[in-house]
Amino acid sequence: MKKQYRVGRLPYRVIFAEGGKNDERIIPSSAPFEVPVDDAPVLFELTVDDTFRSKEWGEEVGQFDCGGNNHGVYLRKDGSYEIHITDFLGRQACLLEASADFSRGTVALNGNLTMRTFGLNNALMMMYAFAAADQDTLLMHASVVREKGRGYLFLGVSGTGKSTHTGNWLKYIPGTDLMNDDNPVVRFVDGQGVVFGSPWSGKTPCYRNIEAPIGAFVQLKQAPYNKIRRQTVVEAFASLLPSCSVMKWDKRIYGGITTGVTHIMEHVPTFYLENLPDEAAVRLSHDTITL
Amino acid sequence: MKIKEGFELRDICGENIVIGHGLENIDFTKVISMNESAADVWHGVEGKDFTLDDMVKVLTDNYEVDEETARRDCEKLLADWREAGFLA
Repeated sequence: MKKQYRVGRLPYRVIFAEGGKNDERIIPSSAPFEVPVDDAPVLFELTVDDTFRSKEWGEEVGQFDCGGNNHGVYLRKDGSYEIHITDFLGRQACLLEASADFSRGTVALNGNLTMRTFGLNNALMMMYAFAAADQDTLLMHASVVREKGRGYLFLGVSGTGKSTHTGNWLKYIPGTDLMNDDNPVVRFVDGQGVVFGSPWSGKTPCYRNIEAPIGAFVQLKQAPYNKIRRQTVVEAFASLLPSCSVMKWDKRIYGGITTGVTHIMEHVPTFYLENLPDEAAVRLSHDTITL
Repeated sequence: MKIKEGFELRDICGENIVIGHGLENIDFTKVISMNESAADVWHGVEGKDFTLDDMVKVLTDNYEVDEETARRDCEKLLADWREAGFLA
């Protein structure tokens, strides 16, 4: 069974092998992004087939901790990838094989429904981020609010208080809504930076098929006071690049992401906010970064 | 000596910033920027086997600077590059 989705205006297909345990119900957060299946070119095609077994692992690139989950990445001689995804309990949830350019992939899922949902969503995020890397498209780690038609992205490592800060925007600034709480798509299109909701949003269920021009990025830092300032170019680069899903050993992907970040930086201001988790921090951030 | 494969100097919003890709540079996580003259030296020697004299020549050819000063600046720059792990 074939399903087609469109995220960040880019379509992709997921093919569920016949007779298997899986169908689109294991990724309910993708439902708002479903579009009719057609024959047009897509960003990538991912086949879900639990009987898939790998022919060859390839050379180990590394084991990467992605928010408590582990991604074991192996690179083969022909440039294709094999990626083993384990959940926070160390259970192998997903085996992904992807072509060198991530335009085609096959995934075998394992375990209960929670593990399958987790495994397939992780595989989709990687396919999306790495297939679109050279199209001015970034899958970012951020919490995003919308106010007066513009999206504001808050950056920081896990535990910095991104969700707390955006939660306070919703509480104290009338007319704001949450676009995504963990993994929005950011693109440079039509000469401007645009943020899109996605099927991936971390612990907060917020899977909205919406988009908005970006008003600003804000790097968050916990502090015993509230203070905000514009970032220098070097600081902005050091905030944005590590907030993007990237594989830095892959020249096409890393070069593409760097170009995407550069284009975004040329058009969107970035700020540095040292803050307490309080209303004053939200007032300061809102009054400084909005037009 | 050479600048290692995978290091690239890019113009990012008017700043010269070094980007490192490739498996051998996987642990390079710093953001390092350079001023205009250091960037000129980088572009003058990247991709080839070079010596301190080659670096000095880039400066004396492009700037009104005496050789002694240029050499002192390049020695300092070379030490910075070595410390950052850019050199092979």
